[in-house]
Amino acid sequence: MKKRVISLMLCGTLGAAMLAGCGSSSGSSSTESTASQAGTQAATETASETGTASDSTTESSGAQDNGDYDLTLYSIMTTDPDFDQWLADVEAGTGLNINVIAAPTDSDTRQQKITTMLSTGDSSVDIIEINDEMSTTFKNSGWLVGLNDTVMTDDIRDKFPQGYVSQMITNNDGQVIGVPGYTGYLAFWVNQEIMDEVGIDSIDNKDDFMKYMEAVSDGSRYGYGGSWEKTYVFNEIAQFVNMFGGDYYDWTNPANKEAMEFMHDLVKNNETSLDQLADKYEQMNPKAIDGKYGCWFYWGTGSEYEAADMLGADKIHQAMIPSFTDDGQRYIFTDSWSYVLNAASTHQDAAVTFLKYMADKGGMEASYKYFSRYPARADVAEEVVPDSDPAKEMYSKYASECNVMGRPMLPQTMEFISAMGTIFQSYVRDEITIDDFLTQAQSYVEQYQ
Amino acid sequence: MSNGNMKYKVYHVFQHIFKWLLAAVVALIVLIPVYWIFISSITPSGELFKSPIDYLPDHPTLDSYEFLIQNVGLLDKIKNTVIIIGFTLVISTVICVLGAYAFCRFKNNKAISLAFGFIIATMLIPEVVTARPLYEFMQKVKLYDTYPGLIILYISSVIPFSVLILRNFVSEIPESLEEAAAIDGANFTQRLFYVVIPLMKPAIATVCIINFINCLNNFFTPLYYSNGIQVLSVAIVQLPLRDNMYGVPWDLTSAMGWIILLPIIVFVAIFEKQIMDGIMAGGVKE
Repeated sequence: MKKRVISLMLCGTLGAAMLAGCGSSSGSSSTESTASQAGTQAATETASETGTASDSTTESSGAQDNGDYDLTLYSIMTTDPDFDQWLADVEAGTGLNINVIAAPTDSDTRQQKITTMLSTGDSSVDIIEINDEMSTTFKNSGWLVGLNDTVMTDDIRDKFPQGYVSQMITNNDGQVIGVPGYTGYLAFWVNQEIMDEVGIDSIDNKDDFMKYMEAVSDGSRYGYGGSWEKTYVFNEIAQFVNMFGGDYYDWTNPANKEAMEFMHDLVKNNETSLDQLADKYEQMNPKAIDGKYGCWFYWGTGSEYEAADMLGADKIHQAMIPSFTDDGQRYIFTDSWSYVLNAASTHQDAAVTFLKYMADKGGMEASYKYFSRYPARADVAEEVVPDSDPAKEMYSKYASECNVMGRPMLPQTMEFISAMGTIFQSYVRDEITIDDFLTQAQSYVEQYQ
Repeated sequence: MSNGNMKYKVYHVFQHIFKWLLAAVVALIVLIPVYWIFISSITPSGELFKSPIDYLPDHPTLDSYEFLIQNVGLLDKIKNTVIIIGFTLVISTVICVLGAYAFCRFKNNKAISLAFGFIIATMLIPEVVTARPLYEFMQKVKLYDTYPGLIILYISSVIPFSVLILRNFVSEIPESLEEAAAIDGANFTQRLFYVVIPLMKPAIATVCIINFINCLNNFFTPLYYSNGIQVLSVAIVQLPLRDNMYGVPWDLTSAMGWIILLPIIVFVAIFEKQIMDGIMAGGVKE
């Protein structure tokens, strides 16, 4: 009898330990879909309960004790060597004592974690840095606080790129949900050495572009280079659709067809390489640096080219986006990471103070100074960025001469991007026809909306 | 030499060659990625994707390791890892040894068998299924992002495997030893602690070693259920992005990978015999 009692006690102990958590295997399995599906309702409830009042509390949140901190920031920049100086600057500028938590910099992991935090009404984090993909997914979820009346007021909002703000960080209710942390253009890059060699001064329109393609491409090098891995090529598909005056959400638009046929012909005429179907930017850049591409689209200010001593007016540099349409319009995408306010936050006043600072000159200057993040506001960039910065001239031109747009994304962002990339790859490999491509693309737009 | 002897020798030579070839192929399959991670960790970022591929870097550098030591807070992460794994191993071993004994010796009791089945069944539940409710639960009971919370989760993750191995090991210890001790006047507790547990030492050592490696590799639990308390395995997804925010810092990722891999490689190299003996002893039944 004694043995039985003891054994039952042992089993009881074990059972209790097991109930603490049922997970067993280790690994990095995806939780995104589960979290996002299950989380929508909880988050909506949380958001409606908390509102924007600074003294609101969240019942469902396991509010962590942040000690003496006024605010907790969930940031991807913590491992930057200059992060501590940036933080000191921001604390001095806002008068806030900021607690910082390092966010995963790996995109899938980060999105899973943030989705869970927001969907469960976790109030342990007040401000979160999110990218365009997350912004598209979260902006209509109710998990983020609208900032129209507090931070992104009309006068401030007007100073940011309008296309980007309206397309990327404004929700269905017209509320802006984030403060863009920087501007990063999908710039048009050219190799000046190749341009000089083939005797072309500028690529201003479609004819120039085609002449350049023909002059540069010789089998060993290509007029155009890209990053056509299935989740990366989306940027270039959308860019060419814009350049032809199309609409990424409407694949019945003849301009979309023209753009896709144009890209297909670049492959067919050996003016771009099919090898790049596996290339991400890490693979594309060494080829660009080695002089294998005459021009390409790429984000950032060219630190890779600078590191290879290939950045400069006579080497690799940014150029104005060519205009492919008769109306002379130029289109450029910008991306950003935005600071957003968690609806479950119990430090809303402090969060608003922080966001106001980040939307103003002080915050943008700190980000430029310590992280080399180009200011999202053109007026601030004009003041803060020195003329010696090689990106300044072209970035200013992009801001003033181009239609600055946010990339076309749908709530199920990664699924949509991946699906479009897959059919594009099939199309340029001649596995499907242009009509098949257009039909499928339209069905994906409807499916993922 | 007779024909039969000759054939026998040739057969053995070929068998030997085949074994070595097979071992070499398997070793290459396993080691080439590890080698590649190491080479990437000492190659400057600008030379990582050179074409044609360099199998030895032109300009080897330890910059990536230096960067990680200076900027990623490695010492703090190592300290957290040691605290969490240390408590996990001690507590889980006590629980599992006692549980394994009960599950083995009282397996005729239906409730106990059911409890054992329940514990083993949890090995089949993917973490993703329990992630969100558990996240909310941990927050509600104020265990989210705390050492006790993480330790409890780590313990729960190692229990099913440990109990399975230890229970099978206990089943190989003859009950007659306990009966002899009982005849000599030992009560139940004395039989457990002076007879059975000393005989379980090799299996306990093995389970501890395997659990140590599993805990060190555990990525999901610390990533999901903590923010401020960061361990070594999570550091690999907290490396700085390149300036355009799209490029993965493969040089730093590789260096971090090696920092995480190294203790595991050393540990397995030292305790390889115990690990294999323990698994064979606990996992194979006649």
